Amino acid sequence: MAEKTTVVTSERFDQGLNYSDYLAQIKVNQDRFAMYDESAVEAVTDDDAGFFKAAVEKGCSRVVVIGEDWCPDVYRGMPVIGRIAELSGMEMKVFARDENLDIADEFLNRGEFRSIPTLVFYNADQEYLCHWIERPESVTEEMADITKAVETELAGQGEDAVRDARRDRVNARFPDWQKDTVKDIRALLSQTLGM
Amino acid sequence: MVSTMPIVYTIQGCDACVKLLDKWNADGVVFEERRADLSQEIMDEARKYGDVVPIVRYPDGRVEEGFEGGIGCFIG
Repeated sequence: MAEKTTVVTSERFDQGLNYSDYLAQIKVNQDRFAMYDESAVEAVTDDDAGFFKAAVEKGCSRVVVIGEDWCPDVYRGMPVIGRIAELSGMEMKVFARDENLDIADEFLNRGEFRSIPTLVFYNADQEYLCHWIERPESVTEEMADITKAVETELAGQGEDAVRDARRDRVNARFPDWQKDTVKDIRALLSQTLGM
Repeated sequence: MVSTMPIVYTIQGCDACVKLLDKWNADGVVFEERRADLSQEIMDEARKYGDVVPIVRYPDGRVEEGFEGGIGCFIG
């Protein structure tokens, strides 16, 4: 068992928002959350559901999600953990990063950045198990590859053309990147819980 | 109506946005801040001009993203 202490006590955990309540109060990107909630249904397979149910039975029964609604990594990734929680019975609470900086600062990306989404897994006694930040490394690499390819292919065609092409290609990959996210989280819990 | 001052799109929690606004305030720059995290209308407007806040629209039509090489926040 990891020994990391956390400001997220059981009382604090209970103050987080359920996913549906979080979605009801966001100010932007409701349409994108809805779109990627739909694709998350396909991203989490029956086999995955079985794995995450077993993870809950092995003690990984709670997850804190730190996010902000304006962030593409959040409206792609939060639906994935939302679906995992729904299918597995894992209790999920969402905390807005900028209103909960003490939580965000416990889980800085590379010790420096308040990257989102950040998922923090706990057992029923609110003991820290492990955490996951932002997106799979493979996705970061693919995003860079797409940017490079678009800039090369559309050299001289103007910034707007490059931006639009990059957006189209990146957004088209979101459903597959949700599947990669499931694999990444699954690998993390598998290693942490010895499954 | 054409704005006579720079318009800057920001979001809360963006370090590069804070640094830009601090510099402009220190330099006495007159600007209009539009918070893209507060409304879908402003978010959609910001996305017409860039992917990474801060996004600055100058009166002469120039558009800049980010601030002095700092890491802005991706909204695309």
